[in-house]
Amino acid sequence: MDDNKSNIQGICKFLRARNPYGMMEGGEHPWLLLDDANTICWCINSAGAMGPDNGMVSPRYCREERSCFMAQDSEL
Amino acid sequence: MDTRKDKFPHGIPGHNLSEIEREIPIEEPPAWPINKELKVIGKRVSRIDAHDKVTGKAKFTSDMKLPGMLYAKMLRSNVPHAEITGIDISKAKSLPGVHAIHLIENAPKEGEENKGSKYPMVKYAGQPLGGVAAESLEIAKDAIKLIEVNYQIKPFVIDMEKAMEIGAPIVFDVPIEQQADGGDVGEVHDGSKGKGNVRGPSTSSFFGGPRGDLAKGFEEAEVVVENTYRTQVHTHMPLETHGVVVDWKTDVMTVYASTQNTANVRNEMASIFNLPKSKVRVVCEYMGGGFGAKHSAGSYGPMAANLAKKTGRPVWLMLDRKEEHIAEGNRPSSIQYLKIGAKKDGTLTGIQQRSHGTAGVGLGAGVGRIAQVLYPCPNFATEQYDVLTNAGPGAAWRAPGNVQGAFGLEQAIDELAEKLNKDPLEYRDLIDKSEVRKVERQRGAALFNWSRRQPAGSGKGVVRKGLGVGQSTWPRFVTLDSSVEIKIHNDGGVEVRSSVQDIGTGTKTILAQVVAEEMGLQVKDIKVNIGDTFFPVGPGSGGSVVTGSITPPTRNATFEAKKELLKLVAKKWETDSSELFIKDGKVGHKNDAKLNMAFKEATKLMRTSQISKTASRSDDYGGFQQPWGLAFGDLGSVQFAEVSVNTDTGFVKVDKIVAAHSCGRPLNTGQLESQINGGVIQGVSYALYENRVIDKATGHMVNANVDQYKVPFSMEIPEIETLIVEEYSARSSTDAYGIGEPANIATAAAIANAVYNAIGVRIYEIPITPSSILKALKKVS
Repeated sequence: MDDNKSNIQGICKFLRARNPYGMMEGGEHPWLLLDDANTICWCINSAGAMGPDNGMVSPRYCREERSCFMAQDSEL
Repeated sequence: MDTRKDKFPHGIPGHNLSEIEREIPIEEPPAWPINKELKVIGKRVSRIDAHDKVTGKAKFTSDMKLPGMLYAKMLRSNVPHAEITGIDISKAKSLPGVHAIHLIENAPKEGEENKGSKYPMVKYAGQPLGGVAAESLEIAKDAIKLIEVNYQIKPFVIDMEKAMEIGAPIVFDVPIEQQADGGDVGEVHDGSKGKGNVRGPSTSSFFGGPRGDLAKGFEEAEVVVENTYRTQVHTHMPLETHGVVVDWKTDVMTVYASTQNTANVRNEMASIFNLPKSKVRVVCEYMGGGFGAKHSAGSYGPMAANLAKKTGRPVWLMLDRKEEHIAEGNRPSSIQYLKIGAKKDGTLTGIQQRSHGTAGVGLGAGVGRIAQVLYPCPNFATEQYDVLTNAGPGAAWRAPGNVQGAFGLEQAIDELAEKLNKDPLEYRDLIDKSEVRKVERQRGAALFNWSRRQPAGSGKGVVRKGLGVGQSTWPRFVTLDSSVEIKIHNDGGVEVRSSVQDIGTGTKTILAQVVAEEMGLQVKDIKVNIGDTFFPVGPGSGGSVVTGSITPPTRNATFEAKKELLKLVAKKWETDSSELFIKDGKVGHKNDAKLNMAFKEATKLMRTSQISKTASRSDDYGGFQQPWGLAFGDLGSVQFAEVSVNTDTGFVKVDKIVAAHSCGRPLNTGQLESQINGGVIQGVSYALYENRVIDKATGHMVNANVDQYKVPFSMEIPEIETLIVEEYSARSSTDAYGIGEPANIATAAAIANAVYNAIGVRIYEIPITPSSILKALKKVS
């Protein structure tokens, strides 16, 4: 798996993901997409598996082009 | 470099124990010898909170009662797919005792699905829509019944294979034009790429992608096994359901949570409510179990906080059992195709895996990495697809994917062994390169008396006995963001502080053991205060990472605090602190037996009221296999199953499981046995009983309770014998790892192999029920 997949830049601040081994938060190398066949994602803004726009939650989708996207440094 | 060299025990006692030199950070403590030379570590120490738990003194989240506290209940959808055209809360609002109602609302924008409604689109029955806070739980429940939700019903799909068909109701309206989820882009065998509800494939893991040339591998194969295995959706059944109590005061939001990850709940709540992390405190003193689905604040956390904000009062929001089943995560199902080729001498030439699974409205239904890494094979490829359905989202569930994957792989390996005319255990000796599993097979086989195994289906009579085996691997992960504070107080007290939570596995006790061993005290002398984010951040309890992550900094901080204390004694005795030690609660001098002082007396030498040292997890000695905390080696396990199958009724009884496991240096044998017992029981339950059943006509789970959602009762739990293999790898100051995941992975596969051995007909789907046995025996159609 490419190293750059573990980079959270460009991904919505409200996306959370958990792979079998841990959370995406914490440490210098978030585990966001490691072993993604078993990575479960959720949106903490909508508090569920669907985003505020009713779309699917995933690191590939929860990006700038999406209407509900919030950048990492943005405030509500 | 600030390092020094030290010699550590390395290998497996009784097998290949030796010594290895490691370069370690200069400030870290000297190597511990193997367990038999230690006083507290590796011993059967009773849980330090056992008394409080069995007497009911221990207060769990659901027990919290705060002044002025309100009780909340969630409003959930009762249809599986719909647009909400309106929600009328007027009747609920006027119900006496109701204090606040909070509805989940969005700000719809052009181009979005359901752009005409401020309410979320409903995608599964049980989806949270809002909540009510009231004087009592009964009033909150009554208020929920008074809320009228108007739905515009849409077509839905529950059955995974139906959802894969072209033309099936679509769970997410957004067209899929590219391979956007599930990982890498790959060719799809059935033309479903980018269409409908099927997403994928994921073709790689952190151990890499496809290997070699699969076609060539199967060309070289002289024996091939090719089958499809099916596993069910498995919901979470911790004794304590998900939930929180939120007390939002002006300065700090305090969240009492039943969580596997206090730090993550803190981080989520801070992000959602735009608060600094320093103003959110999450507390989990006692926790009634969690198997992977309790790492988040969920929907109930923000709901309780919103209701607390609206009312200015603390809010209690615990889910009930039905909510737990339908909305708080599950182990996704799988349909796994496996093809394995080997030469006549048994050498593996190719492994092909293709899986489809559903995590409902979520992703992550792969079958793990076990087929990729358990047995070295030069040619390997996997394609793992998610299938979206209108059902509750999946969540991590004790060894995500790997339990499903092991059920297929370990049966296929048995089938291959039979075709090669080899004993399943001997065949694994041939193809498995793990040294620790080799020892586990040897010792486990002796304990289990594997030699009594007869050829498959050779038994006579109505009830037939069968023996089977299954193996697993789990990576040694550590979370580097793991810190501990150790305090020595000037009254002789010693305290451990970290936000790491004890989810019921005994984390508090092993931390006390580590401190007691290093400090030369008894476990009872140590006070463990954990599960509070106002303390140094600890790891989440998932992925079997806690022991390997938090015990080394615990020992290291204790070592530093001890050194500070010994300096004070050395000053009094006018000697060098390196000449001093603490043993059996007394400070002594290596070369002068007359110099000794009680530990408590030594702490009175402190000029401050406490010595405080904090340490964080350092890199593994020798570095990591991967930079983000994947340690070398694995947590290997081998489980043996003995079953009785009644060929008239189809009833399967698991008589005995021998579970042989490794977790580096064992810290507490009693707790390890307890955790392995739990894993095995869950494995038995997965193999024979548990199964989420959703009515395909209504989208409702019909067994969302503890009656029809079957889990084993005491009479259905087999005799379990555990066998723990000490394995030293010299990678940290404790060299210890967890056992949570490994305890659960191989059980269902071992049982399935034993059932085959009993009746001579293989069952390719779990749960293995009386019906499936009788069908396999062709006694019913």
